[in-house]
Amino acid sequence: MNPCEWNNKLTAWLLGELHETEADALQIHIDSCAECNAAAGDLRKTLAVLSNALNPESSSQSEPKLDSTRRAMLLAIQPEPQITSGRHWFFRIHPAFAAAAAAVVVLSVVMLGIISIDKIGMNVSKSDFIKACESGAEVEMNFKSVDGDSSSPDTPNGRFSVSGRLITDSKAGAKEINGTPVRRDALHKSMIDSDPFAEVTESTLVSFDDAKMDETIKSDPFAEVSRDRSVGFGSAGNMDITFDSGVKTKPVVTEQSKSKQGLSGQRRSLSEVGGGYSYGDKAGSKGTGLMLSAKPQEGGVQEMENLKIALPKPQFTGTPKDLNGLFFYSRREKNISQLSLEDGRAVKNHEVIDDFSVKPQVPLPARVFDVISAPVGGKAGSEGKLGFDLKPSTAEVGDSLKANASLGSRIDKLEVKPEKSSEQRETVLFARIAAPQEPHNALAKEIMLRRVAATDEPMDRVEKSAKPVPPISFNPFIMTSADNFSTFAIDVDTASYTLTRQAIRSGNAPKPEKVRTEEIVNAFDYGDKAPISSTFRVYQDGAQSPFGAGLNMLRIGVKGRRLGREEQRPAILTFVIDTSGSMAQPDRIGLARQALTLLVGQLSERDRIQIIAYNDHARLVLEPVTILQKERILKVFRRLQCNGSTNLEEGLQLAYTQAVESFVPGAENRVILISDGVANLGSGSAQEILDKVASCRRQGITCSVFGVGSGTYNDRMLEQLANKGDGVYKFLDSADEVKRAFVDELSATLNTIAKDAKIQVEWNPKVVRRYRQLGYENRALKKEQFRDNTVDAGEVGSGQSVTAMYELELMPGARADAELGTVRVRYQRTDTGRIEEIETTLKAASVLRPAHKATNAFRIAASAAEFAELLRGCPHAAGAKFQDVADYLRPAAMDLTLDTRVKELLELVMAME
Amino acid sequence: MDNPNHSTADAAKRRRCGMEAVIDTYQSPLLRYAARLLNNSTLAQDAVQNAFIKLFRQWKPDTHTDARLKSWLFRVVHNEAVDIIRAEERRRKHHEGHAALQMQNGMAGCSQKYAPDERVEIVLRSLGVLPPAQQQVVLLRMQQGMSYEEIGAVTGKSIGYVGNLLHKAVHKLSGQVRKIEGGV
Repeated sequence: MNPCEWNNKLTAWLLGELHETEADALQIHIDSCAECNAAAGDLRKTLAVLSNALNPESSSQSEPKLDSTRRAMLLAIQPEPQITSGRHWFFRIHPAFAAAAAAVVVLSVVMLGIISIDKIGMNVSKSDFIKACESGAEVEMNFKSVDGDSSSPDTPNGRFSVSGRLITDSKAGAKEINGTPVRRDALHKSMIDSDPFAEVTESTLVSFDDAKMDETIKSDPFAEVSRDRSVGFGSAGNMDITFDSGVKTKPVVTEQSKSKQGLSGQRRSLSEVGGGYSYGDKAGSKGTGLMLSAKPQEGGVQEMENLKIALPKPQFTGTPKDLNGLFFYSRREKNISQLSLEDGRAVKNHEVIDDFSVKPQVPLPARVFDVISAPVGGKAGSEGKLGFDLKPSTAEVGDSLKANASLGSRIDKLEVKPEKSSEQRETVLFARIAAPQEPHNALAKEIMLRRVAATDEPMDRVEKSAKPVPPISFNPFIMTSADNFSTFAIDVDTASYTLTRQAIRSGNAPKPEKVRTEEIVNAFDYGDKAPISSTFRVYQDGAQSPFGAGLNMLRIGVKGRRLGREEQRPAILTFVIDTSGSMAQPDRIGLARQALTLLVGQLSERDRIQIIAYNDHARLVLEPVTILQKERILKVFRRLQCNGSTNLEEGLQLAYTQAVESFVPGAENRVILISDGVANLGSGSAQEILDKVASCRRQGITCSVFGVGSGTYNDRMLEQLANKGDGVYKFLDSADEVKRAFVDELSATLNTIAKDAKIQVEWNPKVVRRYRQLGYENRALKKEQFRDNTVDAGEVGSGQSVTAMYELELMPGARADAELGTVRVRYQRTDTGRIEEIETTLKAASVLRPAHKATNAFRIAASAAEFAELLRGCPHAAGAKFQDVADYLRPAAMDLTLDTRVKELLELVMAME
Repeated sequence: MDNPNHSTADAAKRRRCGMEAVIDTYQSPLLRYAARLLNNSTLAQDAVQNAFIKLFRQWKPDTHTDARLKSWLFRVVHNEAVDIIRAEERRRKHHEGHAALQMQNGMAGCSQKYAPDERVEIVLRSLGVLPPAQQQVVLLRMQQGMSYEEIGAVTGKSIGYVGNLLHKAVHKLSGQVRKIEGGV
């Protein structure tokens, strides 16, 4: 390609719409062509401006609504009276189109074995055609999947284009089925009636007449007349049907021509069933999608009034926003059913339309209602019954009836129980949902809640919006005699340390609410050795407090075991990358890229990774692949462009949808979010996201968060995400940190040894007069929650350690062999799933040591803790100064020459002086 | 679909529920889209209302919808908007420049807060004077987030052509911005 010709592709490339190979080639070109580079930069800027301009931040502007008068008027519209003529354009866009070609609706036919699909189109003569039909061979109708997964022929998925064509003779007004003439226009009408979006195109007998087709196309911009491919309205299907006056036996339906790229065909056969036709995999089997049936009448012309043609419903392949019309009730989700039924909006007696008053000889599989589609089978997992509990009610039929409006996705079919009596029109509808995992119910619930929230009715069951950020709290001194239990959930995040470091290095004092003492303390390695066989080992260390007179300090270290290589479980990772405009800097997207590169280098062939990018909207840029496709993974990432706003909500929703789809039981299923934290979240949606994260965590998908960037950094939201998701929360401010997180500590990040780990210290009132915990304010638990297995506590990764610091005031006369108390660690092992609890006695010996004789590890811990408390402005640390901390830390820093992090801490403390 | 056992009141209620669902789902994006085309939120309401009218006249109690509905709605709203513009044009008897420019000068009801960024304003103005096909594609992508394929479904154009249109449009807008910024 000429270099300058690349220019035309730039926009598509920037928007991620180019094919992989083209995009790569363009990337290569851009790297070497300054002109295109500049042009791309220009376009990128313009796109960003456009995005900002067209997607305003303020929510009031982004949700315009029809005013109430118009809305009322619309809802009062009655359906138009039925059409009786056969020539009719369903949607009259222009009156001119009413005078459309007076041709007959066409269905073309291909007989397998007689006419191959390649010949469809121009080479079939009518006589051949009729001959073929008359020979009575079974014919097939083809459903093409336009999107979605059609790997299994039995589980149609995605959107379908339905095609089948019969040819008719326009002069003949009727055809015969089984010797009974059928009126063409009645068939036509019924077709339209059942699907307003069907476009019935008419063309002459010679459906292969190009001229006629051209004419049709010209006269209606919305018509797409097929020659050898599926007719589409948009990209979904459309049906042309006509009758072949020559066919005496059954109508034949055809298989359309070759699929477009990416499409595959599903085969169903059309066969006669009773008074009509049904199609399915085999005669009499349950079909998904098409039901042609006729209701024979006494004598005379068979009117085919009740011909019902229901096209397959699209599979849910999109993000939840596509489901905003769905009302999805599940009995298992109590809240939802309460939501729908107990608020005085009970579903009223709901009847099923019975179109087939004549029982066919072969029983029709189900009353094929409006809602058809769905995989037969689908993914492995439980099936839930979806029940609409109906009770006769005088209450207004409420929103719950919208359930019938567009139930799509995984509903197999609606089976109807026989009516009890004609008076008591109670009918219970059941639909089988292939629900692979509960998340789908949670998803459904979320959608439900969003739907309800969108209506203006007050619902007290709707989740409240996210609570405001709580003010900083400090743990007070607690009298042991009053309460001698200190219980908290483990936390291994270290983001606060990195953030604090970054702030100080840029010359600012870190914001107190961003400093979390436990994270500062946890950022250091205290040299505790990992246990070999047991999951955890508890270490204790202490000295008299170097900062508070008369006090002692205790360090409790809980060190986790390292998983051996063979114990490590495969990792199924869903990367969610923020590609908003703010990420466009090298220290943001660049670090994210480094992270991914390093990560990919550490994974094994058993692991899988998929990538979702989000800005204004979210998209899957790489489906789950193994590291055998390493180059491709990195390429995909390289091609990501950063522009637009930050739709964290959509990003996470898509990520979780994907994570659920690619869930592998027994593996480490993780969502890894990388963002600079600048997220535009609607009120209420923050809480929804968190709930979603929490519910998925319960199913086994954890969420770890890596923050990048600085400045307007929405730390709290990211921390909460990681908390709810049981994952780590780290802040990446340099290549070093990236390496630390994705190489050194990767095993800890990806492989967990324990979940819901909690610590409880039971202090001995005879020895300890008062105690104060440093940090963990956000993680405090009540005493009885320690053994409550439902409490969500932290996750500990392979080889990780957790440190807790306490300030103590001892009773006078406490001796070295006295017992300070007992520390217990309770957790659930990830490998066996069993809950375990270990216990260690705390001895006074170490805390009685003079401060200057303390171990290096203690010096570091105490300094880190005090430093954090000072930064937070904790009143208990009021007496100390940064210099004291620095002085205390210095010997350790000098001693541990190899530990750069300790030196770093010293620098930071000194910087604060 | 006529079943003697079927109570009309129930059918009507179901129908209404279905219609409400459609309105609630699509009104905001459609209104935003129309508002951009017409630069007038009242006229936008008209366009969207007309589209819904067309839809609801054919809406049965158990009509189900699928992905085609979205494409169809955007298509029809667009055509309605174009009709409105033409009607306004005829009314004003003006023939200079694109009708949207005329509407734009009105700026009635489109009380959008602009960022202090001048470029935003420039871009929006320039957007208004783009040829309608380009304007449509820009809006469908940048405002509605549709993929090229979806845009193809709405406009009836091929994906390649959509890409072309969009590129020309963004290129043109870039030029405008550069020109004005350079001139300042």
